[in-house]
Amino acid sequence: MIDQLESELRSALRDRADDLPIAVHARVRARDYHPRTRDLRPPVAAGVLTTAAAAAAAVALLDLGPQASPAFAGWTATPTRATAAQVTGAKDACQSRLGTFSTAAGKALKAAMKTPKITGLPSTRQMTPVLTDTRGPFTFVIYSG
Amino acid sequence: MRIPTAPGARAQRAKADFEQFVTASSDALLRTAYLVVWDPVEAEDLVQECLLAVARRWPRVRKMDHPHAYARRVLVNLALDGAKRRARHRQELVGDEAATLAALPDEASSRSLNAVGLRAELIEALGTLPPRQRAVLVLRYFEDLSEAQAADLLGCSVGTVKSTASRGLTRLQAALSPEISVSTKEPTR
Repeated sequence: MIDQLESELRSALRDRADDLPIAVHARVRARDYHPRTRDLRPPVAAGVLTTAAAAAAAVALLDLGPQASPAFAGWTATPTRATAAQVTGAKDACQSRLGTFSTAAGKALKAAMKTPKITGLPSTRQMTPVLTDTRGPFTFVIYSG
Repeated sequence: MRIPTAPGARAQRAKADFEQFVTASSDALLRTAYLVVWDPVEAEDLVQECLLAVARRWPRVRKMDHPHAYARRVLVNLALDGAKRRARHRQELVGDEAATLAALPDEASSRSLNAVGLRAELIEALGTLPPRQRAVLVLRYFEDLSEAQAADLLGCSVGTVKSTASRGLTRLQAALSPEISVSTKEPTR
């Protein structure tokens, strides 16, 4: 059985399409679309790679000279053992910086460190480091006493 | 033996191929665009936008088996993507410009009304369909694409094409006068 609606629809669409003015066709054909004449993808990709390589080389040459300090990007469960000088230095720095605390907690901590009998906390001089870790310019020390 | 072609000659050849493609495809693209967007001015803009997109990718498109099918896919998707934007733009237009744009499809419709009766009513009803429904009907009944081909072009499932076409036909059927109403069945193929 012929579906009349489908058949009429085809005819109606054709009729409607024929209504499009001829001038429109002419204008569309006349326009210059400036087609790309060669595929730019490989040269572009090569250019990007070259630029990236040059940028990486420039960074290495300019920013990472022979005097640059080594980077510390790794972490292991086993701490790096600090030298005795590092531990002493860290203790002194820690002790001296207690004086720079301005908050109530800092002042309380400083007072506690000075009067271990009241607070039960010993002075850093009486404590021994149980864990030290050195990361770049920082030395982390955990004391026990 | 293959003779190497100079880069300049190759570029000329590619450009000539594109011009040939425009000559061969622009009319069909325009007709499809006109049926999807239902407005000659918008159809012209749309086809130019489509051809610009094809021109930008011409080195790849010209190697395809069916560049026209690719262009038609670009065209229909541009039409559907921009349907809401164009509707908003149309609402914002005021004065003469709006009157001109509104008059163009009416003139076309009035010419089509010469095909009296059912066809005229169908054309009028087609103009009221949502763009996506109309696009599916255009692809199925004007471009004669199968449901699978239409689904591939629109980037949707065959089931979506079936249901959209069915809803479109139902709306058309409902819009027709009872005395010239025709029997319908689920579109197949």
